[in-house]
Amino acid sequence: MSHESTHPDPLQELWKAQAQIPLEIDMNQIQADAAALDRVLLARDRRERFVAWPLAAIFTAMATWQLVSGNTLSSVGAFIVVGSMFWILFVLRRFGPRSDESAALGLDGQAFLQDYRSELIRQRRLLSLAWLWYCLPILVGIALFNYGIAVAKGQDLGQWALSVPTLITLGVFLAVAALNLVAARGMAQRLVELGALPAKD
Amino acid sequence: MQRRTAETTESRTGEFQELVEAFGPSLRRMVGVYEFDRSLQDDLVQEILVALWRGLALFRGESKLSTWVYRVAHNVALKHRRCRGRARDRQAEFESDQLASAANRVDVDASAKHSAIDELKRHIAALPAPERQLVVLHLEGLSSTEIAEVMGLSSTNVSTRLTRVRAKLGRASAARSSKETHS
Repeated sequence: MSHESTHPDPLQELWKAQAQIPLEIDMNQIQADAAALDRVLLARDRRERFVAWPLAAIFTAMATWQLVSGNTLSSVGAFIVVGSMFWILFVLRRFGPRSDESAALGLDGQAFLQDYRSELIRQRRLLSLAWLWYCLPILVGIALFNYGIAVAKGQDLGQWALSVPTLITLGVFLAVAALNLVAARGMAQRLVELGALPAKD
Repeated sequence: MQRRTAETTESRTGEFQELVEAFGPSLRRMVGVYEFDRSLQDDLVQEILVALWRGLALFRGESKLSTWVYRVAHNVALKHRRCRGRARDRQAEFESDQLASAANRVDVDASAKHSAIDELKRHIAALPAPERQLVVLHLEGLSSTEIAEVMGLSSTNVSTRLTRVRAKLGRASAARSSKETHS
């Protein structure tokens, strides 16, 4: 650290004259906090996989069973759900929020701000398009799966469309899409505050 | 392998403790313009220390250690403030008012220097984040070149902004003095 001028700056003198509160460090606490953060980040990284893999296994079993039973429509639907799970994992891994930002914290102020904005923009895009990359593929798969079963039971398209399971499935996915859109709107507000989006966006 | 890991951790602990010894007072002063409440200041310091501890393993010496420490500290502080949200900002305004009134009381009662420091901190806290960072780094005694490295600006830009911020601080201080004289 160096002063450019040899003249003492009264503000600097005043600043440094602050009563010092000793900075006591507890290495065990710091290491414990860092380890806890590492665990949280690891869990966040694996969370989607913990959910997606068992669901993929269940739907693969269901698809196989429907195929063996001769219900091709349901089988295709179940396979679409399985494919969607892997697609979602890919999208989250490729475009999802970065879990560990230790490296970014060492960037200079401008670069950090730019990185932070880019991260928010990416997350906002992901949230606002969740209906497309998240809800739609699974919804199509589940709808086809249910429709195949309804056809096998002798129901027509109208009966299936107005059945309780269909309406519940649709409602759940519409709610998920709406929640994501609300979150994206909140994020847009933060981006406006950061000057990364025009206020009218 | 286990012994090597233990040795690495031990040497990192040593480096970290040296770092805290060197920059601890500066970090303490710095958090004072991001948080007014003592317990929140302690939380922020702990957040910064954890980030420094985790980041130390990634630090490759591409910049000076002091530059890196200030970058991490300010970035964590900025993020911390943003995460607290607007509701907390309103609280901060309230805290700022409290600090101001406390400073006014101190003016009358006791140490003028203490009051001047509080006033300076209050004015700095009211600045936009980049200006706040700039002025804190300047007050810590960093040169324009060093501030430029921490903030990712050119030295000329730093000097220009610094002149502007100092003028702003001077005006704010003068306005307060004049208000006090009239009341």
